[in-house]
Amino acid sequence: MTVALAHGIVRLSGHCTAEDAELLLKHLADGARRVDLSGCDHLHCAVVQLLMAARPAILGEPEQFLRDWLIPLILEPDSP
Amino acid sequence: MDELFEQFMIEGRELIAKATEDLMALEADLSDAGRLDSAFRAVHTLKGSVAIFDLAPMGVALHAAEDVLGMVRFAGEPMDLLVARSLLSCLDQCDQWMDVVEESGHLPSEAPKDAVRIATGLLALTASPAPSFQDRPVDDSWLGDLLQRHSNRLAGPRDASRPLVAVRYRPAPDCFFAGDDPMSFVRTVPELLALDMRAVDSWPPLEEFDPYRCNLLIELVTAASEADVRALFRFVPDQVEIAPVAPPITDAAQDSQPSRGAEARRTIRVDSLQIDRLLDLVGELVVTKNGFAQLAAHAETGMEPKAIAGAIRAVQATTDRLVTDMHRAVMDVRMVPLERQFRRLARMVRELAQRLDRNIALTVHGEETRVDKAVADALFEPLLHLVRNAVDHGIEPPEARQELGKPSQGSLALSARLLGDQILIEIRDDGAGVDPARVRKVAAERGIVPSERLQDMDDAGAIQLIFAPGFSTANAITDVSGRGVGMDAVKTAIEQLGGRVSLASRRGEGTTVSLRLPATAALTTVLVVRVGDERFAIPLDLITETVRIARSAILPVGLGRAFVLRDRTLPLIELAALLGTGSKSEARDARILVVDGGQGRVGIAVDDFSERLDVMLRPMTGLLAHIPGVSGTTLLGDGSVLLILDIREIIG
Repeated sequence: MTVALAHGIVRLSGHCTAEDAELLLKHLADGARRVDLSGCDHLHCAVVQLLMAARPAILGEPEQFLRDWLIPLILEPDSP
Repeated sequence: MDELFEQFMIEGRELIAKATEDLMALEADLSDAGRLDSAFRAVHTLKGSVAIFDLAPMGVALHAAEDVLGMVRFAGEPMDLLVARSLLSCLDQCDQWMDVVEESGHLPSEAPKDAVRIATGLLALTASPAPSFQDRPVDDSWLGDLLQRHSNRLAGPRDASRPLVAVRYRPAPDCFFAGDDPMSFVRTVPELLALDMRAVDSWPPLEEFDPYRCNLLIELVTAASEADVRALFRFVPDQVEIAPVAPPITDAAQDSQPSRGAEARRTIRVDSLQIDRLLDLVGELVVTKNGFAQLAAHAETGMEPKAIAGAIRAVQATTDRLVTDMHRAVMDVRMVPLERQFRRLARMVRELAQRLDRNIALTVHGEETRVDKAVADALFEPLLHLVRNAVDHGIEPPEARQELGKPSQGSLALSARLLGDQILIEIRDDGAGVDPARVRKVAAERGIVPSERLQDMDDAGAIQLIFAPGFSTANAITDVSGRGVGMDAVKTAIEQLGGRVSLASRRGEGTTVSLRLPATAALTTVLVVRVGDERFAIPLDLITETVRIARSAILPVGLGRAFVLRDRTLPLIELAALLGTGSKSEARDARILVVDGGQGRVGIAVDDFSERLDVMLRPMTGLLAHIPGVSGTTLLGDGSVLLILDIREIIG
């Protein structure tokens, strides 16, 4: 179980796969506005594009590649 | 012109040359897969470099060329001759554009139209374009945009000599079902410098969001090698575009415009070994220079003058050797292969052959022969003229050749080789040859030589008359040759380079024009002479001898004067009068230089002879360039400037 919802925060942990995107989409569509990535090792591309589309608030400090490259793009997708 | 652009001018030309060479080899052997791969790589790399500059039309043409090459390669079938020729003319056009860009800083205004014509022409040749080809936009602007957006990050401190690689990755919409995770490719890219991701189609509301459809466009720049990047994306070759980026990326590279109107600077590529050698020599020179301090110290302590003189001589000898070596090393640096000139000529021959409906097999030999850069640059015009002549007046149209029992394809050979310190360039065709009878007739009609001398000449001598000023044998003045510059212009240009030109021809069998040129712009030996209080230098190779005669032996002849040298009467000219310095020598003996001015020997009286010097002749520049009678200047050891006289012009 790498996608968990608690107190309106979706917590992603470990190695997130394409299947996790479906569950994340359900939570986000149900109104979750915050996603905690602190326990995350890798996000599948399906999860990344979903986060870019939904633009929730990001909590936590995940591993380096996510922190340095992906989170800035998720937070500001149109900021080139 | 910024560094990046200069680099591109050099590399771009090399890539065009490489691809052209490969395609010409393919023309000869249509199934040479190695050449096909090599041509593809060269065009691909060139397309990538072109994208960084404001040269979109060139990018469009090259993109089409790359696609066509890629398709031929993919199909695994032999190259089609027509396709190879079209690709060659595409490269020719790019080469011409490079010339224009180098001179003016931008492409000509008709370039977009030409580019579209070339691209559509190329694409039309390939019968069944691969499906991926049609969706792919013929547009490389993404690369420029990407680099522009991340210019800050890419301009950071790093090893500027390393090339960057840009990747545009558009994962297939259904790639998740195939088990692909594009993010896992991206995160394993080593030395990532910039990353962009955005939606291909704008994001739908979450209710309509399809989590299993990939809708991302990923662009990145990395300092990893192109080979590594290609290996990384090897499973999705149809979804990525990988383009090398020439280093370094700076803002200057993006917006600086090469200065217009200024003389196009030529950059040459220098082997670092040559620079190392120069550095070694400079090091030795510094050591030798320090020897002078020691000499001065010896002199101060009252050393024997003879011993000091010996020591000075020793230092001088060492300096002499070093300076000679350095001069040779610098001259070596200036040596460039004739490749570029020959390549442009090959392009001209192909164009002309098409225009004039000739079928010509061009062979080129010795393009690696190296000559001084100045010689290489100055050679192009005369060579072009000779090649035009060969195609236009030499080689007959295919039908005419068949009637004559010749193979319908004419041959034109361009070759260069070193003969000692001279280079020999030959342009040989198997065309109609020069008709000695016609040359005699025209020479007589136009009064080039008196008719009695004409009768004494043998055929080989008579055909040399086409180099005489005002001679042109072509009946019809075509727009190819015969623009009023004849073979005499070629002769003049070659002679200005210190060379000679000769022509051999057999009626009906062909013509060979040979150019012999000094390969280097070497030191010139001059004789320094004094006129009044001024000193001038005269190139020694023009002086046949120097004599001293009593003034009483100078005879007035008509308005001029003359003197007798070994039973021959030579006209005598006062250098002072020629130069208008006006001083009149009162010395009892006249000192006379005997020079060969081209129309027999002439004596030139000066006030005194002085030393012989080896000098580096610097041509006059700027306002001084047109001063008559002076061919250059040189600096003397005491810092004064010595004018080198162009004696032929002065007495002519």
